Amino acid sequence: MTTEQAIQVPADKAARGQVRHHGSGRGNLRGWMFVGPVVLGTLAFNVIPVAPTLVTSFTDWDGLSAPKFTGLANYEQMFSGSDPLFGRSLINTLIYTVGYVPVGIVIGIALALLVNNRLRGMAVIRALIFLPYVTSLVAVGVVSRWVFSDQYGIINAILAAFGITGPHWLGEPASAMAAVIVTAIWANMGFNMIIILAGLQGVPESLIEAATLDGAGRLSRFVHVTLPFLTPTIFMLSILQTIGSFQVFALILVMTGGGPGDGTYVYIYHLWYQAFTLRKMGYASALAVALFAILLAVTWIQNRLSKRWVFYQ
Amino acid sequence: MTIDETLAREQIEQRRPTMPEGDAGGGRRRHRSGGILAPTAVYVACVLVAIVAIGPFLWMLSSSFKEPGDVISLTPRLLPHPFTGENYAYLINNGVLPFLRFLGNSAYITVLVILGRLCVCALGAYGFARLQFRGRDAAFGLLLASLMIPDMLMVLPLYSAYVETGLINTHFPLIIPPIVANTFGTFLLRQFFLTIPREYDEAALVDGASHFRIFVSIILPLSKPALATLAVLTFVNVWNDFFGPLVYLSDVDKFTVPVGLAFFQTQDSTQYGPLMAGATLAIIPTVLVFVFAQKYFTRGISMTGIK
Repeated sequence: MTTEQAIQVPADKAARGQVRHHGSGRGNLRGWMFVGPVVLGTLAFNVIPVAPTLVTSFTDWDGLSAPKFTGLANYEQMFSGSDPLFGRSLINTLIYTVGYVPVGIVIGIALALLVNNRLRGMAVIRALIFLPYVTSLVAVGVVSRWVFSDQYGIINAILAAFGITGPHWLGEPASAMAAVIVTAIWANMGFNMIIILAGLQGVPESLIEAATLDGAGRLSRFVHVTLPFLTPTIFMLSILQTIGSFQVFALILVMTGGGPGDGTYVYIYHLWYQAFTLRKMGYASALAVALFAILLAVTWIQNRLSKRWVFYQ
Repeated sequence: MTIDETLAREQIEQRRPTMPEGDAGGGRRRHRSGGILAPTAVYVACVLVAIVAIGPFLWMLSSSFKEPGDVISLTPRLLPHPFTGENYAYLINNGVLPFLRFLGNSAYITVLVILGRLCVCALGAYGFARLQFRGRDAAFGLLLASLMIPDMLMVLPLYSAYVETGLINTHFPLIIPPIVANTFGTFLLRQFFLTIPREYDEAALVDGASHFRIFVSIILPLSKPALATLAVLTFVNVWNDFFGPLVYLSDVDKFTVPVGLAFFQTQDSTQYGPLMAGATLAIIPTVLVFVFAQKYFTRGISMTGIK
């Protein structure tokens, strides 16, 4: 939509005889006075800094003294297995992503269908569900660490009411990862709900009515009419959430600190630890470049697969 | 030059529903209830979901007023029985982690970023939406492309640049880049500015107004809803930012609320009371802003046809 409008604007102006501004020295200067700050700011803080990351990824550098060029050594270290935590963090990130993205989207769909009812008080319900999303992930992590606490946590208190002794959630690698995933789903369910709610509006009313007349039941209408129309939204969410999942950090740092053992030690945690605790800026840069490559690859695969299931009108 | 603002606003209100996709235009009402459940079942489900969504927050709030022994009670109760402000007092007076200071730091950083970002993004959006100049489309393409670069690729060089320039451990990295390098806000406002009828600028130009004058006296007043939306989104992002302050700050005195809270947790992981008080203080501003911003969210939703 944006590019389309960008093209429309000049045509619009030309039609009104305003082309005289185009190309005139004063007009150019004026234009740049308006867009200059954001363009220069983006160049300085977003675009230009990418190049040094590529360069330092081929060096051994502590961030302070002069970097030593080491060629592909950082990349060799990653892929030859001499940094076992690289593989571990990648696997943990994948587990997190696979656990979080699909379930998060299914819950988002369920919630969107629920609050799409035109009943009194729905706006309040929508707001309440959205609330965890606008809350700091650190606060969410603090609260959820406590919710999952083995002795004082509400989950084990509820289990105890049924005579079940709850596990030490954050004390075992598998259940700690599960607790982090559940927390992430909880924190983001409002966002997924809102996006899918918007997607539900793209479903043509007439098709639902036609299906109803043909005698399709509610479930059948959902599966055969609504769901296909939601697939572009679901696809977009799955891309966004996957990219977000590969960068999960605050929640991990606060809830588990990467532990127990290396049970929740994820990719960005590894990158952060290498860069700012071990001061291996060169290696951390290589990790950042590899992350970018991984994200491109994953997005490309998702895109390819989408041709099989995403339905465009 | 007199512009009838009310008339202008009405025209924009009429135009705006066509902006997002959907069929809200013309006030057409939906017939479908949209649901697959009976109303009673819907309400029951809604209440359960709402409890799951905000239950932990309520418990957090309640525990922040409990005495230490009750916070970690094995038989938890929702209402604090001996009601005490002790946790808040400890949080504020413990001397090691000055929480009020964190709140102050977060507040001033957030306010500066919101004000600065509104100015820079609005100026840029006006330039891209309303002006013709050499290099405009290339510059716009550059901004679009920059959206695709992951943060991680620029954090490390920026970090060392800040070290070299002595800007590390200052609030500069948390304030200036978020103000001047916000492409999303520029896009958002540009989209809105494009919906404002061009006739207004032209009438003003004929009357001899400068573009800056048009920007300040016509476009900005008509764009209050969009500016407010950007302000709210910025508030939530900046107030909750964790990675930036964690990486760029080392003096405790300079911490913002999320980093302070995280440190509090690692330092006193067993003291749930003060921790819950801190988490409560951390989310109160967001909740207030969110409640205040509700109408923008609901308007966004109603624009797409949901009621």
